[in-house]
Amino acid sequence: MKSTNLADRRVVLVGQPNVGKSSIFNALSNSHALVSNYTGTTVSVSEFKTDFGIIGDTPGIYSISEHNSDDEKATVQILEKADLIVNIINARTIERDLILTHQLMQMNKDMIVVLNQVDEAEKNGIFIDDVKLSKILGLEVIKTIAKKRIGTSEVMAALESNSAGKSGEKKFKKTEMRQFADAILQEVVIRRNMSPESSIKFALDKILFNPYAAWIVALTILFALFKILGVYVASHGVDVITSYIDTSYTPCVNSAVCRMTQSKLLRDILIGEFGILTMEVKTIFGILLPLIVGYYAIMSILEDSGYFPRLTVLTNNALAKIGLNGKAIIPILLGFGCGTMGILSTRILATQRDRTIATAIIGITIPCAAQQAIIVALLSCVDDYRIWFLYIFIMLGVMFISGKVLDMFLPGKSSELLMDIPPLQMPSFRNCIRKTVFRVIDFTSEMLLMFTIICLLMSCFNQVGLLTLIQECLSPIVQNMLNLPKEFANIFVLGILKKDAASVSLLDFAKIGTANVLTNAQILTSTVVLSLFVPCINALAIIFREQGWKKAAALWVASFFVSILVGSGLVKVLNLLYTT
Amino acid sequence: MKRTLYELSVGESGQMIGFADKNTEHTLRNFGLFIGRNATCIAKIGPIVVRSDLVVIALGKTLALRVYIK
Repeated sequence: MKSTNLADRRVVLVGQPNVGKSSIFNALSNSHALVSNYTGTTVSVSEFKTDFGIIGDTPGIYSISEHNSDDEKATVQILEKADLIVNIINARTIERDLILTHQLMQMNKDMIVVLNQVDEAEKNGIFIDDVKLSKILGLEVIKTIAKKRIGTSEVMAALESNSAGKSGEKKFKKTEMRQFADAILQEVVIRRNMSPESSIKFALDKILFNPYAAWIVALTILFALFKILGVYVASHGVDVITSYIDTSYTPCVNSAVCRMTQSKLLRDILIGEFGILTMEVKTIFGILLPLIVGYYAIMSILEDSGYFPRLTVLTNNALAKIGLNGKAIIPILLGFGCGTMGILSTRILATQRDRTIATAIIGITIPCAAQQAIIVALLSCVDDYRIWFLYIFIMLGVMFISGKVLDMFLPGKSSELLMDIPPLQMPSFRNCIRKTVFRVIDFTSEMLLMFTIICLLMSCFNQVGLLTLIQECLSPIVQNMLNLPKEFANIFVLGILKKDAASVSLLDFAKIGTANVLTNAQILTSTVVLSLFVPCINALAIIFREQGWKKAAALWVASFFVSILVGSGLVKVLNLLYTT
Repeated sequence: MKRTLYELSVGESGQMIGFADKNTEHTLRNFGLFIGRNATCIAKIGPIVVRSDLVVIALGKTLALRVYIK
């Protein structure tokens, strides 16, 4: 049934991928949907209630047809329930975007057309007569530059005044799509010869599409990421904050809690080994937060610049060897930030088969940002460069083998790469800051809740002697197979709940807990085992939602055994390495 | 013998004259690649990257082999 009240009607923003739907959504709703310069940034529907309707931001869709993927079909279902469609067109690629407009007009719903990125189009010599276009379509057409918030108030005014026209002008109803687009283009688009696009962009693209230079750029970016996060942030930044926490904050909290309560249990929960006020605060604010801020800031810049789509082209052949195409590099890279984000982004992949392989790789072999920095800090304790090579070799090896095995046994064939390559652009400072801030807020709020639960559980386990029991039960694996101290079992338990918390605990364990007790070989073994260990609870919940419980359970069990088997194999190799 | 999009060398252009099957035609039309359109190869690093008007698209080898050009 149609909504008659303005505030209750469903307004759906729809358009092809990367046309600026989320930018318009943010402008209309004042919310903070992520905006990036690549196809597939929005992977689920976001809704926001305003005075002029419930605005829905949808993932990009190329057309409405029987060939639609499951996600595209979900968008079509949302469209069918819409009271008003806001069709967003990229003015630069109007010719192909009009095909979707034509299909939307067949739905016979109220509709507004938003012509976005007109500045980019004009730079490329495409000038669109919006008044003429409006007359031809019989719909209101509004020009915008959404990322600069130009024209968005006009869109809002159109929604408030309820001036949208009914789509589906009779003369276009049954016409062929291409004829429709061609007829409109002839009348409304004026093409002028402009000077070629920025020579810097052109030169950069030449480098990024050169097979040799592009790899050099990719490795340089990777090295810079390692240097900034692993060395400057993980060493210097974290040291400054944690030493402040250790010297000023913790003693104050300890004495305050001791004055406040005599209860041993309460003291243990608040300021004990897994204390909410000590361990949780130090882990989140002292160690994880600086790393996460640094990682997300760098990723935001790369996302905004348009570098990711170029990386898909570069990595396509390598990923094809494990049954994926280059597009999978985007979820994998996002997985390096946070596994849950990476797994959600597998939705941009064309087939369920591709998504399963990418999810398994992210779940098993990709350490999140916080973990990576701690791994770097851990391996930095080792004065043997061979350990670094071994670690990288093992992780890449497990990634290759797990991908290859899935590629062999999963039915079907991997999909072919087909991807829009958007123009390179200077990252928007405002957008990068915005994205970093909102991602960090999301991360921190989720961490605070998770860590509080984890600290409470661990303190209770400790109090009732469960940790000691687990240590005894796991000692055949931990001590005999992995050649690690039996206390490492605690890190296993933490790893099941939250891998980054376990990594922090391992770092403490290696540096302080048993100073000079962990050998180089033990540091490498524990780092590898923890990197490959089961996906943490949040990631598991997302895998469960995206892939179903059977695949989630299989992945959990597989990663547990892979980590133990690889760890025990490594112990044997390291024995040989250090005895010869 | 028909020439395919994948046979374009970097810097070379060709006009699309057909597709191996309906599915390919439909998929590529959504990306702005259709019969009569010119495409210029701008890179070939495994996948081929073509520019058609202002649209730049990366296509895997198997897909590009199903697009005929002259």
